[in-house]
Order: sequence, then C-alpha cells, then structure tokens
Amino acid sequence: MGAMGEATTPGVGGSPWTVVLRRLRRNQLAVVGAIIVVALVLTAVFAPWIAPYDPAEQNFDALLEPPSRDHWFGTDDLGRDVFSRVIYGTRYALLIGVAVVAIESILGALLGFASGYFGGKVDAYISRLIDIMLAIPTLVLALAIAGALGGGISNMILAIGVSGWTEFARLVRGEVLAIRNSTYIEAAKAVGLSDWRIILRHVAPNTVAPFIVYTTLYIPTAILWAASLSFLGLGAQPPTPEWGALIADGRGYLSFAWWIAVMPGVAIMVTVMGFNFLGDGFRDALDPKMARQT
Amino acid sequence: MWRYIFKRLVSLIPTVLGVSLIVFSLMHISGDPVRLMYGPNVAQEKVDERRAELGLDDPILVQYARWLFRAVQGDLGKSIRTNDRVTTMIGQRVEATLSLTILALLITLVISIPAGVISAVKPYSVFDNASRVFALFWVSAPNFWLGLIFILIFGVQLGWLPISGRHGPLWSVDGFLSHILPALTLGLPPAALFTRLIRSNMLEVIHEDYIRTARGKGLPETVIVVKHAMRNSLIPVMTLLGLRMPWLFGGAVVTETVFAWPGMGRLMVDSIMKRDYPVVQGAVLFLALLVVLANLLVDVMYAWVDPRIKYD
Amino acid sequence: MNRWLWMLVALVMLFSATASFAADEPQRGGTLVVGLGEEPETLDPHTTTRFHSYIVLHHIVEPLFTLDEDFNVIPWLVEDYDWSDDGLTMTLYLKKGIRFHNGQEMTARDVKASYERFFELSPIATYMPESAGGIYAIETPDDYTVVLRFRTPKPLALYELADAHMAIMPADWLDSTPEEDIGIRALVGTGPVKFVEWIPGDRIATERYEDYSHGPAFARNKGPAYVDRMVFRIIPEPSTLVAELMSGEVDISFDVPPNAVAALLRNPGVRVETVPTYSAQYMAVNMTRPIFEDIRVRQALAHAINKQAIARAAWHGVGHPISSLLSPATIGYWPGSEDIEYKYDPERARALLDEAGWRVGPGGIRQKDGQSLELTLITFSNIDQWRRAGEIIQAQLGNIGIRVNLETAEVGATYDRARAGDFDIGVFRNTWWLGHPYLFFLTHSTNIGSSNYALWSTPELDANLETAQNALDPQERQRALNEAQRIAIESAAWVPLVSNAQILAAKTSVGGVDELMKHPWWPPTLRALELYKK
Repeated sequence: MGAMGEATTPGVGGSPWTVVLRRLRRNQLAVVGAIIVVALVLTAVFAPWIAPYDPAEQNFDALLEPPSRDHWFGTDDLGRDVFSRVIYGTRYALLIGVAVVAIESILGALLGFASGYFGGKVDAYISRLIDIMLAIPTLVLALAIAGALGGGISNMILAIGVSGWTEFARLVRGEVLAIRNSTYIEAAKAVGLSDWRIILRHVAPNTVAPFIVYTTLYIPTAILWAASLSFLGLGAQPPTPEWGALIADGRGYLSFAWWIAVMPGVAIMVTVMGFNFLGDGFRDALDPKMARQT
Repeated sequence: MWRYIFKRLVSLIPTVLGVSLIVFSLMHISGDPVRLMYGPNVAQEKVDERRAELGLDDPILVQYARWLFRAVQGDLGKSIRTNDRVTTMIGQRVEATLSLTILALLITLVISIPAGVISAVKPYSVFDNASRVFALFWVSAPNFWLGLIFILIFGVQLGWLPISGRHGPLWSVDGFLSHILPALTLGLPPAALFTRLIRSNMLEVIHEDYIRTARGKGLPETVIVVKHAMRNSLIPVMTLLGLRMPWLFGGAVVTETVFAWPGMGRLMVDSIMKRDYPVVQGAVLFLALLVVLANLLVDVMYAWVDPRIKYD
Repeated sequence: MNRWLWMLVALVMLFSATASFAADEPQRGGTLVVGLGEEPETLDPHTTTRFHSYIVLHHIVEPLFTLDEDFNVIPWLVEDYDWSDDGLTMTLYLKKGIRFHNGQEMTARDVKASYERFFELSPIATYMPESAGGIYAIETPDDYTVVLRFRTPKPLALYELADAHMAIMPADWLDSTPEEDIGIRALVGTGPVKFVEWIPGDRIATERYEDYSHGPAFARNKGPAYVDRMVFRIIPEPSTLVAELMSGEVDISFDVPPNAVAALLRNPGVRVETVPTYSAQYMAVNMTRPIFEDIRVRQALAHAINKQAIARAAWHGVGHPISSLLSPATIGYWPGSEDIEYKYDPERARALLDEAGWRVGPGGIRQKDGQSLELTLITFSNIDQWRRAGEIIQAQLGNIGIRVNLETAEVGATYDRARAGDFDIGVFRNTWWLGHPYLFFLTHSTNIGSSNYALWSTPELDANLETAQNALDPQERQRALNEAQRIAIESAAWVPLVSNAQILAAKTSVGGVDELMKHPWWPPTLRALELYKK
C-alpha cells in the first residue's frame, strides 16, 4: 500500500530512451532496484531448480525446525521447507502484481480515453465514477469485492484490479484532453485522419513514460494489498505459497518459530523495495526536473 | 467561501449515492447472511422465514429503494446478525477508530515534517540518506506483518506495552499506552512517504526567488526555513493528506484486526465476512462521508493557507 | 546448554507447582480475563444460534435443568418435577428464593414468559413448541409451580429444558426492555455473574453476583464465584490471542486454534487441556448420482479414506477419528459403531471398485463403459480444517484411481449447492450434544433438500429415527438410535471422519482448572464458579 503518492505527476516524457537509460544507470538505487526485479523474475521462472524441496512436501520428522544448512529458512508446522515455499511464492507475487496492474491499466486507459475523447456527459459520468471510487478506501473496496466474490487468487486479483484503476484513467484523460485542444488535431483532420486515430497516435507515445512509472510503482502496491487480503482470509488460501498466506499460516508460531512468518515478510519487503527503487529511478530519469531534487 | 462550501456539499450527494449503490450491489451478489448466521443446525424453513422477514427475497432494486428511503431519514437499518441499529453500532466504534487514526496522523506529521525539512536543508547528508533508507523500509513492509512483529517485540518479549485491545480513551494512561503500537503500525509507513514529499517540496521552494530575496535581506536561516520555505511547501502536503485519508482508514482495517481494536475497520471486516449487508453498507457509507468531508476540509484550509487561491 | 537451561526451568516450575498445589486454596478476588476468538452476535438466549453467544450467555442466565458429568439431566432451578405417564403433562416445582440479578425473585410467571418468548423467537425451537406437537399451554397455578401441557409426548423434553437457550429471564424486565437492547445492552438472569457492559469489538464485562448460592450438584463451590469480575475479551486474530495468553492480559481461553497448541505447550506458564467435543465432521455421498447406486463404490470411498491422517494434518492432532455420525461425546452415541465402520484399507477399496467394473484406465483414472471416475468434492473454503480435509481426501481417493475435483466456496454457497444436490461428495460438519434429534436432522427423509446432504434415506432408517425421538421408554429410544447409526454407517452414504477436541489454554496462575476438568464439557457455570486467580 502506498509509495505511489509522489508519482501523481510524473511529468510528460518523450525524451529519447538512450538518455533515460543513461540517467537510470547513474542512479545507484535504481540499479539496485533493477537487479532485484531481474532476480525476482529469474527466481520465479527457475523456481523448481532453485527450491531444494517440493514446496508442498510434508515431513513429519522435521517439524518447526529453525533455519539450518538443510533448511535455510527452517521448516513449518507440517515440516515443509520455508525457503522453497518463499521461492515459489515469488511466482504468485509477480503474477498478482502484473495481473493487477494489467487490469488497472486497461480499465484506466479505456475509461480515461473515453472520458477525454467523448467529453461532455461521458466525461461527467466517468469523472463522477472516479470520485465515487476515491471516496471508498481502496483496500476496503477490494475487501468488499473479494468478500462478495469469495476468496481465491483470481478473485483477489480481480478485486484489487477493479478497485485501483483511477490514477491510470486520470493520466490518460489528461493526455487526451491536452492533445484534443492542441492545434495538431486541426492539421491532422485536414489531412483526413479520423479523430480517435490521431488522438491515439499522439496520446500513446506521450503516456508511455508515465505508464512505466505507474506500473513499477503500482506492482508493489498490488503485492502489499494482496498480502493484506490473504492475511484477512479473503485472498490466496493456504496451502498456496502466496507470501501473505504464508504469513497468515505462520503467525501462530511467531513467538517460537518466527522464521515461518518473518521470512515471507522479508521477501515482500525486498520485492516492494526493489520495485520502488526502480520506479523512483524511472520517474527521476523521465523527468529531469524531479531528478535534480532527489 | 460559504457558497463554495455549500456547492461542494451538494455535489457530494451523487458521490455518496453512488458509493451506496456500489456497496449494495456488491453485498447482494455474495452469499446468504442468514444461513451463515444460523449455522448448519437450523432447518431451512427457519432460514427462509427469516429471509422473508428481512425482505432479502425481494428484487434488489426494491430492497435498495427501501434502504435509501430510510437512509435519507437517518435510519440505516438493523444488523442482520445482532438486530441492533446500524447507526448505534457505528456510533460505538467511531471513537476508537478516530482516536487511533488521529494519533497515527500525529505520529506521521511529528516524524515527517522535521525529518523532511532537515533532509531538504542538508540534502545528501548522512541524515538525508539515513532517512531515505528508513523511509523505504517502512513503506515496503506489509503493515499487518509490522503489527505482528511489534506485538512480538514490545508486547511479548520486552513486555513494555499492552499486546492488544483498547484499554481506555486516548487521554487515560492505560488507554494511551494501548494506542501506541497500533498507531505506530498505522502511522509509520505514511510518515516515510511524507518525509520524502516534504523534502522535495522544500528543495523546490528553497531555490525560488523570494527565498533568495529573503536571504539577501540577511534574515536568519531558521526564519527563512520555518517562515517562508516550510509554509509554502506544506500546501502540497495538505493535499496529499486529504488524498491519503482513505488510505489511513484502509490501513486501519488491517491494523484493527491485528490489534483486536474495537473500531470501524474491524466492524467492516467482520460484517463483510458475515455478509451483514446493512452494517457493511452503513460503515462504508460513513467512511466515504468522512473521506469526502476530509477532502473538503483540506480544500478549504488550502484556501486559508494560500491567499492566492480564490473560490466562488 | 540451552536444553539444560530449559530442564532447569522445568524443574523449578515443577517444584513451585507442587509447592503451590499443597496450598491450593481458592482465593477470592481479581479479574479473570477470558479470550474469545469470535464476537457473539447477541447474548439473547432466545434468539441466538451461535456457539460463542451460547458459551458467554450461559455464565449469566440459566435454564431450569442441567446435565451432570454422566450427561444425566438433573434439576437445577427446580426442586423437583412430575411427568405424567402418558408424557402429556409435566409439572415443575421451582426452588424458592432464587433471585435474578435485578433483585426480583424467580417465579412461575418468569418461566412462562421466557418459554413463550423462546418458542416465538428462536430459530432452533423446533422440538418443543406446539407447532412441533409440543407444548400448547403453560399454566402457573401458583408462584412456584409451572405446568407444561404437551400435544404429543416429547420424551427428550428434559434435555431441551436443560439447554441454556431455554434460560429464564424476568417477565417484567422482558416486557419493559426494548427488544433491541436485550442481549446487547442488557441481560438479566440468575447466573453466577452479572452482565455489566458490552463494548462492541472489545469486551463483555461481567461481575460476581453476590447472592448466588445455587451452584449445581456437581460444583464444589455452590457460589458466589471467587473472582470479582469475569471479562470476555474479543480477540479474533489467533496469533494475538496466543500472544496475550503467553505474556499478556488474557488468563484463559477456549478458542486457541489447533495449530497454536504446539506453541502453547512449549510455554511453561501456560497449561493446555483438551476434551472431545460433540462435533462431527463427515463426508456425504450424493445418492441421487447413478454412479453411487452400487454400494461397492460407496464402500470403496469409505475404505479409501484415512481418518487418522485427517485428524493429524487437518486438525493438527487435536481431533479423533470417529466411527459414527455421532461423536463419542454426544448423548446417544453407539460404541458398536467402532466394530462395523469401514476401516482404512486402500487394497480393499481398489478390489471393490474392480468388482464394480471400474477398471484402471489411462493416467491411473478408473473407467467403466467409457466414463471415467471423476467426482466433485465440495466443502467450505474459509475454514482451514475443511479445506485441508478436502485436500487429503482428494489425495487419498486419487490413490485408488478416482479423480477428485475439489471445489471450495464459502459456507452459505456450499450449503446451497449441497441442498440442491449439485455435488458428488461433500465434507460437512455439525455439532449437537443430543444425538436423537441430531441424527434425525441429518438423515431423515423429510430433511432431504435441507439438512440430509446424502439426499437419501430408507423407510427402515426413518422408522428408527422416529422411534429414537418419540418413544417414551429410554431404552427403546437408545436401541432405535443405535439401529439408525448402524444403517447410516453401513449404507456408506455418509462417511464419518473426525471429531475435533475442545482446547483449554490457561495461565498457570489460574486456579480451579482441575475442578473444571472433572466435568466432560466444562460448563460455563463451572467456569464462573470454580476458576480463581492464584
């Protein structure tokens, strides 16, 4: 939850990508973030090769063992290897993050485009809808939707995605309006291009930069929200090794087998930090004015 | 100004109506609250009877209209589970949530304003870098997890603070002590965020002409920082504060569950789990009202702090 | 080093425990904090159906009868009773001088008002009211005599009268209190503690009722209670509840989850006890499915399931396999069921399926006439023990060549599917301390489409269930109930799985736990009367 507050106006980019990359490389934290994110992706892809055990395999001879050479993160109450479960959890975290942001950005882009393009009543309705969405705390809305749909990962992804698209819509709407009012449109019309094509052609490149920033900053938010929903019992259900569910599963043992709940928590923190570093870096690189300050 | 406030208030009506409609439809696509409450040992006829009594079998629009008709008269209906009035139930919980969020907000501001200002005055200093790492740490941790770890360290291991529950109002000794851990859990992550925001605003302001002028006039640095730079850089913070209100309430949902806190957040989670529609409906509506009013308040204060802004 | 230290600590604890045992005299005073895992929805005995409401309200209000250690119904607020031979008239003689918390003496008028209110409001008043052939008139010839007149004999009536749902509250108070306050902002009864306040989401506070002296026969302390106050703190987050028990404010809890027992057992300052409960987790087979017409298929399912594995993995060892649909702690349980149940025997299960014509096909899934043996298993998604039981059954049936699709949903939706017959097999659970109406509820043909999830019965089973409920002779009732259990088990339309244990976890600074342990179900009255702070 969070970390995207500063990102409300990432500035309109359009700067050549080489410059952006160079700036990004000079930002040490962004490099660290990029390394973390790449490592996460690799971990998710190669989970079966990295994890020393089957994440679901129960071993009644090794219950609640503290971290050791055999079990780096210890074992849980059913003798499952916590390290392997955390490794497999990477898959769920990335899946959730990417899927949620995909829903948010598609919904946001469609509604934002419609709002800016059609204007008038459509704009008024969609703006009103955004007002409504903003009045309900996102987590509460996601909870209500997940509660209505019932638990499970896919329902949770849907619930979070449907709750969090407003920023994307605002972004696209702003761009569309900016282009619409510009003189381009007259010129392009004269050439005989249809309205929406022109707008799309100009809006798309202008929104790529902020979209990248938003995406990298919304993925960790989605991961945190998902963990909260799982913790409250409305998200992923154990034995799925989703990190929030792992914490929920291990919380009863926190006082004497801390590794079960602490390790997945650390995994969440590292992941969220990695994406935030990278997102901050992108923002700074895409908007030189802000880069100077931070 | 008053006209502006009135206009804003009027424009809230459709928003609040929309919120109620969304929540209403959401709750009614979920399961049967009566069966959930009665449990497996009650015969189906009794369940059906109760459903009919509550009007749950009527078409959803009829139910909504009935609810709305009563709601505009200030009657939010009765809880399906407890049969108690929803307004009463919310009333009993508001104080606990408000006292928690207010303390959390205080913690946020008390940490972030000085930290942000110092970071901006001495950018790239040890303090600045430390505050950055500190900030990223808090923003990255799931707050229910932080809460559990706080309980473990300060409640169980060290035994300094009560583990859970609200042991009185904020101003009583026991009450205050019991507020500390949940308020930290709720207030630290936004503190981290605000610190960064204040820092970048301050940095921007410090380079502006009027600050240079003030410096040129030979005013002491503290006066410049506090009187000029801070005042102007706090305006965006206030906006963010308004925008962040829902976020704080959302966090309260999770925090209250971890700390067995008798507030609105838990009432909402419980009611969502138990499909107690009228309560969810009432609680979300109330929260939405708080949020939009908080936003309005921020806008009004905005005008008050920054005389350049005029409303009509 | 560490191990030695622990042993030392254990030894010291042992010595101090024996030392304090010698001087284990109940002490008066203090506040006992009870940790509740779920908030009651109301404390009104006449409307609630929830366990957590029952368990709290039973400290404050009392029914006229109660159950002793051997599950016999014994008089409590009544001196004595007469029951006519035809079973149609029951006369109750109330004890004199029993006062409600508001100072009024309990009289026949209060009993009448309370019973009538229960019949009118309670969704579980299905046995005693006139509509069920029960009580059509309650007469009060004098202040201390109540006459109950039945339409038809209700042999289990005494059990019902011993249920705190039929607790007695003052008639005048019921009249003068707004309905929405009863059980939420006010509650008046005759119990050992008085209702003080309920801070929603936080706590229910009670205090000692000084004039209490009518503790039941099995209580060592007849009253008043030792502790000044009993406070029920609502802590739905299990890890927080466990943390509170280990080093916080909570003294005792009956709600620690099975997976926390291991943690608590390692803590020398906490004592953990378990007793069987009258709950039963079972699998129902949808008998309307043609696949299950062959009893050998049903028997194969029953033989394929390892109940012990469910008890261990789903219930963390805090549960016991059961052989009948009634748990051994339920009144009316038939011990003979242990000899006839289908025991875990995967070989036998495979052989039965082979005999029935289901042969192992490609991918290890059995087939017959081109149809593969695939079953849909439904159970509750939001309760760990059910989902896990479902996963284990899925794996075990997989072992004998049956593919199981596990479909979990929340409670209401799962019951809807079960009633509609939209499933092949399902894992359910019921809890009822009295076997006769319970088995009727689960297996009688009139409950097909509501609570009979196998959607099946036989005339023989029906007849036995009716006799078990209605025969006047207790032995005849038990014989019929045994017979009904036998038919249900042998049909393999229901497969009993596991009964969970109830868990008590108390700080060692709480005294009187041993007294509590003497009664098989730790009645709330005993909790209020016997527990004290050392």
